[in-house]
Amino acid sequence: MLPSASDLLAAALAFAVPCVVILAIMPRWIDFLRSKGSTASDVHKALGTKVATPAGPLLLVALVLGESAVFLVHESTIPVVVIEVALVAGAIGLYDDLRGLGGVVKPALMTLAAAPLILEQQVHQSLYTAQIYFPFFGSTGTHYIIFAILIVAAMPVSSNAFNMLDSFNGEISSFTAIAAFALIAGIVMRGYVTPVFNWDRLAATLPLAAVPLSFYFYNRFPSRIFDGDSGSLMFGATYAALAIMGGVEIAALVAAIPAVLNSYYIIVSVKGFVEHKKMGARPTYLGDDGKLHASDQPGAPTTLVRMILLGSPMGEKDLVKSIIALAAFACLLSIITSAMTWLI
Amino acid sequence: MNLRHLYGLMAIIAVAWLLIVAESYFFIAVIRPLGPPLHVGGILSTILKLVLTAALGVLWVAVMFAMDTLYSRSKRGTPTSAS
Repeated sequence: MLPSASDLLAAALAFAVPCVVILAIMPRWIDFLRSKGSTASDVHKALGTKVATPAGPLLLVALVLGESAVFLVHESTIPVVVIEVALVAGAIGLYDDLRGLGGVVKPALMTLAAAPLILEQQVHQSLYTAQIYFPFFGSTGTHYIIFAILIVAAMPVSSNAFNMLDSFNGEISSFTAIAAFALIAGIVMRGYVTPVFNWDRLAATLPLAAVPLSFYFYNRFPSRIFDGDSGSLMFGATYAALAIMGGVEIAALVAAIPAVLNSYYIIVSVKGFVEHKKMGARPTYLGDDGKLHASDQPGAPTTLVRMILLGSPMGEKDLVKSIIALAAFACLLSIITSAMTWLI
Repeated sequence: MNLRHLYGLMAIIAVAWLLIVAESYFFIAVIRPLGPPLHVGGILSTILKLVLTAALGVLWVAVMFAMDTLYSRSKRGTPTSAS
């Protein structure tokens, strides 16, 4: 079914409000953090530049305001659940930014972000369908308990996959914006072929694209601000929640393949969940030529970036362009997956 | 920007995607008809379905592990996640 005028209004507000909030307030937020001494060294710069951090709280506010706009137009539960998931993930991330959490504690706590989805589903049965739609071949049966278990598992997997991809200037903001675009494409295709479809699912996804897209202007090379774990964990958890409520789980998984592979290779190479500060060696190093090189130390974790740099050292700006290219490729595969699921 | 240096990683992502699609087919066409839905099925068919589904996950992980090893060796014999 096609969207109505109010659907389009909600979509426009959902995209515009977070953009305006971030573009208007981020410069002041950067100054505020700097005045408080809340900065981190950019370890991939020769001069060890200090960068303001974390942007997560402002990103969270922007996302909440975008979702609130959707709620005001649609009076739907979907944006409320997105806000709840983002608040839980953002709070865990902020604690990690300020005090630090262990490599095992963080993913364990992130399972809490599944609670709003599962609990709200008990009240509003239409929040999600407890089945997974596969490309070409149909869907699974409806299994409430198994689906709830999968939701609990999805939150730490998704949030930590996004968190582990947050290492270079503009990396997480560009990746999240591209992945969110894949989600939007999937939900649009689903809505187009579904006879009765609530377009609030699409509108609720738009802030997840608008927030990282506008944040990219401050986070890109050379970064003026880092998002911190409060930003990356919130992005990952919100991404999973929107994929579940949009019914586009497989397409979301495909779009996130670069992040999933990155975290998988890290976990395998360091043999468990280890905080990056406690890893024995760094995956990359800054050479005398000013370019990033893949580390050949035996204890260095295998990361997506290290794999990109194998045999072809490059500057940080080109490295992030490479990651954007891989994210765009995965996004294309995700859109093909959505077409195979809903249109063919 | 020249994308040639990314072809190997794009191949890994494409293989990961193809495996997801192929395993989806195996799940729907082979595993799902093995018995009634889990909540009403017998314990044997339930266990068989769960084991086969887990095997699909293990296969995906194993192939990605092999792809990493092949990719890293082809680049310059740098230590991989296996080392």
